[in-house]
Amino acid sequence: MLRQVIKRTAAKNISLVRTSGYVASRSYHVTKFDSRLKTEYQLLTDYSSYKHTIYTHRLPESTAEQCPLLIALHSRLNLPKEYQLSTLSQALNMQQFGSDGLANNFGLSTLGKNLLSYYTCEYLVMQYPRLPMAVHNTAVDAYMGKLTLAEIGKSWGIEVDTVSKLQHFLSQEPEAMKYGRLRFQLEEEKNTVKEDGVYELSQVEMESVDTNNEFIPKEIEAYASAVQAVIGGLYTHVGENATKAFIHDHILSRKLPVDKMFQFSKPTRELVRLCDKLGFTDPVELRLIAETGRLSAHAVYVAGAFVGKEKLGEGVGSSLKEAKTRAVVNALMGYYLYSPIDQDGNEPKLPSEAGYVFEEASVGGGDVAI
Amino acid sequence: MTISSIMRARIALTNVARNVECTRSIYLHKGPRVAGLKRDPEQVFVTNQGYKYGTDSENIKNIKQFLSDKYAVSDELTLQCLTHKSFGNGIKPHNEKLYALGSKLVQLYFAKYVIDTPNTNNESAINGKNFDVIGTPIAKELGSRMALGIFAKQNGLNSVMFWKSYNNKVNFASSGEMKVSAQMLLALVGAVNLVHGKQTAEEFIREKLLSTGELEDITVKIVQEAH
Repeated sequence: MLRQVIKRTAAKNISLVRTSGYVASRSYHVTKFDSRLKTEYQLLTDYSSYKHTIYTHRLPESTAEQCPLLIALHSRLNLPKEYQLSTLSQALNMQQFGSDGLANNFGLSTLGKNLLSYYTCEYLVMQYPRLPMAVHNTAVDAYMGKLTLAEIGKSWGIEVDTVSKLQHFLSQEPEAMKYGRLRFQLEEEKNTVKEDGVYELSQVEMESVDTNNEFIPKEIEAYASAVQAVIGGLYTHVGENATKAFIHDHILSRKLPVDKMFQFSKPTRELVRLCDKLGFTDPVELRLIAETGRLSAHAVYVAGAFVGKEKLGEGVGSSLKEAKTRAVVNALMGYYLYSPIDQDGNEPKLPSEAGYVFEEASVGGGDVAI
Repeated sequence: MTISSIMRARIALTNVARNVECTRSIYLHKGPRVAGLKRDPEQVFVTNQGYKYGTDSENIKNIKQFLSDKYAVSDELTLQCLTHKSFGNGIKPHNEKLYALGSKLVQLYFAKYVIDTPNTNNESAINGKNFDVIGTPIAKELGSRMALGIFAKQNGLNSVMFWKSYNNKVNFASSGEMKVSAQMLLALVGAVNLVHGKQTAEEFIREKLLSTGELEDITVKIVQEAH
């Protein structure tokens, strides 16, 4: 009986869910307005009318100019003079919901993230068109993941604002100093006494702890968002070409060992499937090419992975099995890490560059399921 | 038998050995799946509506029309855009990478599009760009899989797609059709980006997705219905 009642109420709830022409809302969650920002607008598509009505304002440029930290960061990053110091200060503000009355970096960092995502993806797709999706995503994360961006932010010399109002007053520090620091801690967090080597998780951090018992500290997130926001601000003031150059100089210039990111669980099976996908008519064969000292303590075998008369890869191992596996992995890596070059042997141009020419080779066929 | 005749016979033997070509004859199984048997491609590479995989004009007609000559891509690439990785366990070239590239470009383009408000009177705007729009439902749903999926359906772009649903009897969203359609559309953007470059791909987004106002109308409906 009870079960029936429950069933009936469940059915009622479902019929209450409004459905659009195609979609039951149960399977898709449409973004809602954040009520804490009290956003107002005239028409949904009138983008210029959107406004958060909680009290926030932008830092006046004259105040920002009094902050030596901002000026130092501006010139250290070699930002163009059109880049306002007030925008740079806003990029360092991660305080939510106008708790300090200043506009925060949410919009700037979202824009910066979009710019970073595109240019990183474009670069990787052109550089390694055949990379398996899992490796591609890992590589994107290594270029522009939160931990990487936080490292970059620290190397830019951005400081965290840990000075409470009282300390600020006692040390007679000029008011403008704090506008050049990374602001994400609330006033009461600054006042708590910290033990060396003890890190207490905040409520938000507790919620973000995942199944591997890992979490991203708020400080890392703040640094990453600041770096993204600096990039977003660059777009806002000087446009996309300069931003792209900045991303290539600061983010994509870092050396990434993509070949170390591979892990094969069933390499032979993967190679067979891959050759099937590529339409090779001959079967994959693993053959012994050379061996020495089979009866000794240090035997060495050289195996090769072949398709018909073509050798795809070669591997050396101290047992037949090891040599075979190494040969197969060598063949797979040779395929996946293929990087096209243009006629003069240079790296090919990117789609966002002038004079870009399409090459068939820059379209990968995608991974196979094993 | 003389020595020379033995030699001749040997040479003839080696010639025979050289001429023998190894051919594989594999049994291709028709009918329901049996573990260990390779299935006949004629039967496997067919969608559940009966479209056969290939660059037949019937399969890619709608997409070719949508792309027009200005943004045309090759037949093979069009077919790759239409193929999801679920089709034949990814044994055919599929659109996953193109989708990844296309979705990044669309996200970026829409972000730039919504903040481009030169005559805003919001004091928090920087350089005529209103950042208060970012994070609002309209900005987030504009390039969402729901809006793009419905757009693809309304324009008949997803009538032929090569993919496999876990259950094609349930509705548009639950069967995965919405997601796969949106991915297909984004893969098209990715393909146009690779073939014609970023500038043309952005023109493509503006001309084909935004200038008719259709995508924005769909998005407005989605946002209004959710509230």
